[in-house]
Amino acid sequence: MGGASVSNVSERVQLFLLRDDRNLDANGLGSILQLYWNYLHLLAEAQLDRRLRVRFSPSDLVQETFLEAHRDFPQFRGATEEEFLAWLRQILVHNLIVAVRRHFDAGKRDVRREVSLEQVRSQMDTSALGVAAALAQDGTSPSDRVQREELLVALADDLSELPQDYREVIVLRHLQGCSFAEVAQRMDRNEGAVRMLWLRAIGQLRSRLNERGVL
Amino acid sequence: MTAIADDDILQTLPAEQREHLALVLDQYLASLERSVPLPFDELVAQHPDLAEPLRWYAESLRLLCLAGDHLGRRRSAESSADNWNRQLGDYRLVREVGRGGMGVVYEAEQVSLGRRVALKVLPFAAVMDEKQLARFTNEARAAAQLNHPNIVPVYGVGKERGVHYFSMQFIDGQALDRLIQEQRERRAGEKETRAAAAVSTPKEAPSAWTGDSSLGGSSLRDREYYRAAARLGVQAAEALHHAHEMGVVHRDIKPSNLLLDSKGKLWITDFGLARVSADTNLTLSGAVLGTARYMSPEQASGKTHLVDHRADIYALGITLYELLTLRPAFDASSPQQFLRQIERDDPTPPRRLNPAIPADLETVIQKATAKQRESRYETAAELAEDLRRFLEGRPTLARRPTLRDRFRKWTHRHATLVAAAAALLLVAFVAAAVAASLVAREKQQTAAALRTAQRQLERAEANYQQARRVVDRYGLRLSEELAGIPGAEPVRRELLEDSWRCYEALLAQTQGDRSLRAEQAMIHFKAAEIASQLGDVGRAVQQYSAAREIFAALAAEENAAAGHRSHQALCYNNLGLLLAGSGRIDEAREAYRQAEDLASDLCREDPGNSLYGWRLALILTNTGLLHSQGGNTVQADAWYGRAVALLERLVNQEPRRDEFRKDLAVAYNNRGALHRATNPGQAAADNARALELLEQLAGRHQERLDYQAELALCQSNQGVLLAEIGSAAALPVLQRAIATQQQLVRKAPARVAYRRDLAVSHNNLGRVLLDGGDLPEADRALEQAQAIFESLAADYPETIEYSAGLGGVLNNRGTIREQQGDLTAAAALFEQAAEHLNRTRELSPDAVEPRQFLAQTLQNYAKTLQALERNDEARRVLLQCRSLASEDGR
Repeated sequence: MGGASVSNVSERVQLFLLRDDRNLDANGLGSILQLYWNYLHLLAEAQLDRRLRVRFSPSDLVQETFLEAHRDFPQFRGATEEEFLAWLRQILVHNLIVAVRRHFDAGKRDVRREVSLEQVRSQMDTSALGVAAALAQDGTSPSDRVQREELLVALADDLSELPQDYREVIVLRHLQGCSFAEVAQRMDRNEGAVRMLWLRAIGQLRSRLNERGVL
Repeated sequence: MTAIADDDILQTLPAEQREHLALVLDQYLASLERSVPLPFDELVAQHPDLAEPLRWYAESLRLLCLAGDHLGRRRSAESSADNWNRQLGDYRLVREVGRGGMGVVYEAEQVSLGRRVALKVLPFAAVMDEKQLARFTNEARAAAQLNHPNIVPVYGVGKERGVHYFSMQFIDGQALDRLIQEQRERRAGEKETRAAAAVSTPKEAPSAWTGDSSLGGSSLRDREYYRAAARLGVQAAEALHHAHEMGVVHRDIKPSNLLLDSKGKLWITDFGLARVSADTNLTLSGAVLGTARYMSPEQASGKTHLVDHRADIYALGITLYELLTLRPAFDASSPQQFLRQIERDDPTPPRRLNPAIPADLETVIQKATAKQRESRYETAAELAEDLRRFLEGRPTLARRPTLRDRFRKWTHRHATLVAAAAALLLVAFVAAAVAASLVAREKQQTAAALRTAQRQLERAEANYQQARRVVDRYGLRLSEELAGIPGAEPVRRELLEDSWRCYEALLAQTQGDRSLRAEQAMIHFKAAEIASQLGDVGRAVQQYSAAREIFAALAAEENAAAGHRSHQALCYNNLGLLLAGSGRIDEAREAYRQAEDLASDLCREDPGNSLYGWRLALILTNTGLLHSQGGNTVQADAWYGRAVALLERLVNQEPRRDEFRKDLAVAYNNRGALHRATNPGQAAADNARALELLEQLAGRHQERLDYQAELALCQSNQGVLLAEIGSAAALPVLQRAIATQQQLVRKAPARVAYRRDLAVSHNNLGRVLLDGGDLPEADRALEQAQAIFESLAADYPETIEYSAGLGGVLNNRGTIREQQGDLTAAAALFEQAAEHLNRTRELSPDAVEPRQFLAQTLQNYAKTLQALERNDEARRVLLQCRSLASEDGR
């Protein structure tokens, strides 16, 4: 799967979505979904902060999302990759909220639950463009937005292929917003070493993206 | 650029430099995330020995920053390298204070003027995006046009080193969303820890909020809280009004955009999504923007052309809801769910969540957050005004509506009269059909029309005797009142059969002639009217269906001819009326829905046609009444609101059409009835407006009995409202109304509706006298009411209104007996009352009021039985009561 160029993924997905019999090809849908595994995983990781990640595994969440996507695909009305991605994103966030709710007992008025839910919900709330994509069939899809999406999918793929600790430092620093001091704590190394790790990690990432022709 | 392996780059650097590189990149990354990027060229210039590696890495950092933004990185890292570049032109950044959907906000110092400001910076990722940039500038422009003490003023716009920003006044305070969160946590904490009743000193919170609570003082503290919330609402509403007057709609009002400063003053900020009406080339339409939870129904469903200043009013209402209940009004886990909820569901009434919330405040919020724009406040200033009224206080409501209270059945009267007025038109049609060809008007071709006219005339001649008899029979009354088909008590059955025969004959005559189907439909309709007026529900439903089918068929054949559809709508409307009167509420709702669909279509297709508008208003009023019957106050208010708005428009457009004025009065009257208990101020206002309209009409047309009747009823209502607030004027007003109504009954003894009105007024008078302690007089009034209701109920057993009314009056008389000490008589009366009310419930299980009345009556009965020491019976009655309540508790 490595080395697949950005436009390949888009094309594949686009072609699939345009098929008349797309509702009948579960295998086809499955392989399309696989293309977004890393992206969704990354998204889940970014949304779950430290406290929540102890309880929910991003992989499980993505798995659930895929199952639902299979189930609900006949109701999906969109025809572009952008719409498809937005739809998937939305299912993921929905599952996230449901999981958090289920976990923190609904009977108790748990303030922590409210707070966690608030954070997750506010992501959805303030994502103005996300709402647009989900609710209204916005005819115009700015090309730069599409490009960015494809870029991020590629990024997610490349990240998934990095060595474990390279990936970890990037996720912690860039997606979770931890300072290097915090990253050092989490990874149980000293700060200087973490910074070096980070350098090498970004370097390798850059190379891969370069090979794809993205950077 | 050739692809260099990462190891190569790093290998070529000595260890020291590697660390240095990492630090510099860290700084650069942090500045990217802060949206105030360090200028890259300067960076390179400062570290020339790292030039190539910096360039190599920079692009990936930018991409990763983008990824973080997109995937939801929640905060920017506190860089251990603390010397980030704080200078941005004339401003020195102090700290980050907030991160919104479209920018980062910093506290900053404007160096040249030495003042503290807030600086909003466009994220670097968005600089490339034209749309985002346009929105950013638009926000600044929109806010800059406004000048109001409660709107954060914009000082200036700038661009520095590729960074777009604008500066505004710095508000030292907190956004309402955080405050709500704090309140929520505080309450949760209170419940959990069960704090001892110690009064603690107030925190240094803004003056709007009082300090910590003690359990004992919580009720006082709550009241202050709600008043404080209302005061905030006033500030926000007034600020919004100013913005609206300047042509700016905010479109993203929510707690996080309302700031509360240390002096308790509220500020509106973040005009990022505002639409400036003057600015047409900024087409922000197309995409649905905003925060789902606070979006008005029209925003959420993407109907951007319907989004106007009232969307802001709605959003403010939702915000206040959250402020009061500490809970979101709508709670969904996906945008789709939100959309569904916002469009279809009403939020849980605040008082159900917390009974301590003042009822008036609840009503204000419910009006602000009505689904239909027309039902909300017209302007933000109106909302502010209503909130102020709440704050200024009013005499507290004496009691909840009980059976001993007056009841609202008289509102049914309006619905019937409205339908009767419609029937009037139709009757005129039919009567005129003898003289002129109705069918000719429907058909387009003149030739065919002529032919049919001829034939019609011939038929008319042939049927003349028959038709004549019909017209004759009713002619006198028709010419006298022009109002519906009355059935005289003693001859009504005869009349029914007789007219039936006439119509059957007419139908037979016109049988094979398809060109006269329209006539037949009319005849069916008229027959239905007669049956309805005389209480024969089954036959009326039959006839309406027959009429409807023919109209529908005609409409289908003649390319959806508007005239036929209009009559169809009327059939549905009258059918709904009939069903509602018999307590078949679900069927009635369905009928009204059909009527409304047809009528709105017609209005839409032909907006200039006031007749269609009028029909629609009629249907809306009736639907409102139905909702009110079912206890669905918010819906009822919504429908009445629409009817009122529509009718006001019509009255304005055609001031000489009296029927519009009359129906407007009816709608106001109905709405007033609705708010009688919850919002007496509003009820009084509506009632006053209705009175105004009716006095005009009655004065201008002395001969029109129906106007007199309507006016008398309105006066009776006024009496009720006056009694509610304890005014001494209630009695004379009621007595005057009764006098008028007695006259009307004398003039038109066959009109059932007049008799019912009189009965209701008598009952109301009795009630007021009872309250005043004048028991003998009260009893006398009630006796009169009882007599009328008894005969009505006997004659029209299928109309629940009369049985319910009789039950009510009997209960009231029982109350008198009880107070007079005659317990045995009281018990007997209560028993009778319960009997009648039970029957009513059987007929119409869905009607809310009979059920409430019955519950009250049973309680009264049980109490009296106990006092008489008939304990076994009392127990049985209580069981009945309890089973009633359990049915009710759904």
